[in-house]
Amino acid sequence: MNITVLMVYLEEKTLGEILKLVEKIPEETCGFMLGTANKNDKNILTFIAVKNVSKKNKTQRYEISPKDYLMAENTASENKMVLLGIYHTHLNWPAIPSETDRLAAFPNLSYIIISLKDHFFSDIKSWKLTEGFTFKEEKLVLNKI
Amino acid sequence: MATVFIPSPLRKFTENVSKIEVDAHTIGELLDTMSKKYPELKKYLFTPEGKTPSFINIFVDDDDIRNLEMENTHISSKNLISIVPAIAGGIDDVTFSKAELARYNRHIIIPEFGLEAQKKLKSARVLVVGSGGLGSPLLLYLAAAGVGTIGIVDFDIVEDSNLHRQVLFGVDEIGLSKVEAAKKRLEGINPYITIEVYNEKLTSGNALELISQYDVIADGTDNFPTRYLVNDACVLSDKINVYASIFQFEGQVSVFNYLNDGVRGPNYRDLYETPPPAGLVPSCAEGGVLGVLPGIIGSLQALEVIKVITGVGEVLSGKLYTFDALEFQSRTFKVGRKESNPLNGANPTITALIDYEQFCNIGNEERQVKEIDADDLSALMEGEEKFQLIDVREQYEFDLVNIGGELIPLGTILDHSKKIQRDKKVIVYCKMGGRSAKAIRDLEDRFGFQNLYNLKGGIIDYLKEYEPDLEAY
Repeated sequence: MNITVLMVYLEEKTLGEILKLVEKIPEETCGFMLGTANKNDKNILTFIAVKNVSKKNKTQRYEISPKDYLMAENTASENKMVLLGIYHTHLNWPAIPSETDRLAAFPNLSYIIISLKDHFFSDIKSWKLTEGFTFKEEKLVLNKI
Repeated sequence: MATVFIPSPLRKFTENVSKIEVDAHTIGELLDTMSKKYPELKKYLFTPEGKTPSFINIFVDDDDIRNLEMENTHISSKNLISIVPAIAGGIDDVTFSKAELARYNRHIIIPEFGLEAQKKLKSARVLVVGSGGLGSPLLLYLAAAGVGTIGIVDFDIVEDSNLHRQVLFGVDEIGLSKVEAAKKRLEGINPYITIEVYNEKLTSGNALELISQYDVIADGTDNFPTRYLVNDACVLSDKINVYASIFQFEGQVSVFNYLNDGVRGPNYRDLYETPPPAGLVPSCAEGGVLGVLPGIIGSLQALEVIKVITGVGEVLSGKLYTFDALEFQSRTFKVGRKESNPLNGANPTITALIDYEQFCNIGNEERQVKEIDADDLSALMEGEEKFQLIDVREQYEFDLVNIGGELIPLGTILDHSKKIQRDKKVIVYCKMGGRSAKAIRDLEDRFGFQNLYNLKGGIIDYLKEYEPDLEAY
């Protein structure tokens, strides 16, 4: 089945919780977005922050360990949720995927990039790899409750 | 039969199944069998050389096959084989070619600036709204400085009367779209940057989408609706707005919505919550401007854009700089956030973009006059009814093209009121309908005419509909 995701929904409260963990961290941070999906929408219900295990310069690179990845998949299926995507921060760099991001990207996942300017939130965007291996922006909707 | 765990992103290729059973004795055999069963999976399991790609980790229970015997690792039916995507990424290292390093040398050797600031310029994306008087020096200096990506929004074409101040253009570009002419010129100055152009008007419909693609917005427009639109769009989408404006002999610069230690600085609505009454402050086209002034102010605007991007120096946030060219006086006023700001004050009332033409009361500033459109005029010309046609444009415009009206330029109309008949309909027109409306109001006020009709859209609209062969100007 070819799933075309049109909208990604994220509650402001969840974003706020993520920002508490990622703002002021002088390295790229990363984690998983879990929730539900149907033909048109992805609904982010929760997130799992994980360690950036990159051996390179962590101000410019992130990497998630395979064990953390499997843990996230397990948590998703145990809670009847779907692994919707990955979030990571860009420090003083726009919320736009870099070539580094593109080369490492997988299809069918949302890549949610949080841009921090001088350690504080400045932008968030969601991206998805197309069949042509380029990134296309998804509509990210911040829900207030 | 070993059980294989398929990760979420690859389930699209395994009919959405997360666990499959595969009959194999080694990892190599297992991957082969899977690729045959699910051909789309193959490019994720093998490199073109037939190796396991670096972006995939394969685990036998808790062990990475890289720590076992790679593809030759033996497996049994008790094993759980997990295919795990290597999730990684980050930002690109900004690098410079030798030619770029040579080009930016005089920046790089400033101790407070250096290669770090130059890298920030290269990775920055700046949207310049308007490529006219302010946009010219702004774009020239941003391009020369090495701002990596510059977007330009403008729907205008280059006209001869622009050239006394819009130094981005020359006589060869008259008639061309400003954005295309600007792109060509800027690429000629700096081939190491990218220029993205939008030959359209910035509107409430496209502003948020356009602005979202850039880090810093520089507003070089000359009218209130666009100024409020840019300001509101920047505040609503958390972007920094480097503002400048000019009028006759005076200029202003400020940096709005600047983010410092997590706190946003003031914006245009903290300075002017609502626009002045329409018609009170004329645009450059109406009020005139000393050509060198946008050169000075647009350069200061470029300076602030560069400071915002690089973090070098103290940004002009929370302050309004003004320059009076006649007195050669500059002053800097303090600007603070206001509780009454409708965008981000204590009780925000504006949460989406509005109709800025209406907000700035454009078109409602003067008393309405009776009007007819091009179709009505055509019908009059075809019909029996007698009428008089008055052209209030200038002689040189009349010589370029006319539709048979009697020429009485706006400036002389009150002296020639006797030429205007009172016993039949009188149709008054100019190029676009503005001057003729003024002529009618003046004639009505002064001499009590009641039979005057303005040609809506002026001669331009009429020619477009009925005389497409005559060249408009």
